[in-house]
Amino acid sequence: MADQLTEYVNTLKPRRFKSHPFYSKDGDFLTYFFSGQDSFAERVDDILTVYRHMETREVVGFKLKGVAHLLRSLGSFEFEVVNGRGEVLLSMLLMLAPYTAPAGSASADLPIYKDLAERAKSAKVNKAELEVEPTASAC
Amino acid sequence: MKLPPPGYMPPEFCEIDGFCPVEFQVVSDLFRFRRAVLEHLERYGPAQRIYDTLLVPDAVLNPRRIYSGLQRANYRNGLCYCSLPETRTLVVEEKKVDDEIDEMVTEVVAAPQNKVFCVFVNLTGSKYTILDWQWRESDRGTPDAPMNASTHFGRLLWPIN
Repeated sequence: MADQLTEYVNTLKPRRFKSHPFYSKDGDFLTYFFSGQDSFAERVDDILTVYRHMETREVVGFKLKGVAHLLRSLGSFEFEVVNGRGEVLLSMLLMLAPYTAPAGSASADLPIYKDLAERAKSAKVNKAELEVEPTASAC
Repeated sequence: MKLPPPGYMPPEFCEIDGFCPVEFQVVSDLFRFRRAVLEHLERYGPAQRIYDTLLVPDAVLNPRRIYSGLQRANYRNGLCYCSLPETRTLVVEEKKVDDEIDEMVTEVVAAPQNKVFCVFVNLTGSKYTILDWQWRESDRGTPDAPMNASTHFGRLLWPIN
């Protein structure tokens, strides 16, 4: 089956890199890359991981975890993170995430959240794509 | 030295219901990628993450370390398989084919130094869903462990001390 995985990968035709958020329903995390360069992951805290360029260590992307919990927590403040077209603004998610995370799991004072929010300010993801289940257990 | 994870029979890949390109099985344990993940990477990239999936089967077959508990609610039973591949397929050039498509030129090169390849899985039903895979900086004193593993994971499952 490993060979079949290889065969499958060889059938893929990767397109030119384009920044686009991806929500993993299985992992309840959202990834966003600013660049398609080779990278490694560095865990910032329980809810944020950044991807750094393999050589220069420049931040080239991030992974925000616990998105379902975050959206539920925001609840009636939804208008602040969802624009009129039903799109979730990644920058707002990043700025608010540390404040809704379970106590001790995130470092709200870390400038990395602000920096990433600034870099991702034009990024949006359709809320329907998040497919957040209302019955999913909270973080 | 490569050691099998606890409770495992000697690993072998098995056929599962014919051709099923994004699933593979280690004896009785079925590991699977969600196709949407790979399709997203195909469409948007980074392409390198597609080629790094080729390291996943060996990571779960021949893990150097397995940690349980991903320090997140709902993922306390998640597992992290750590491996030290010797080589990897690296995208070294993207040749423009048309406005959207690049041809990825790849080479098999040595794996990055001082990095551990980590595969995160979660048991869903009777199958292990591969949540993510990534390189992490290795611990200076324990090269086959990711940095700060003791705080990032619940406990070390393998090897058994």
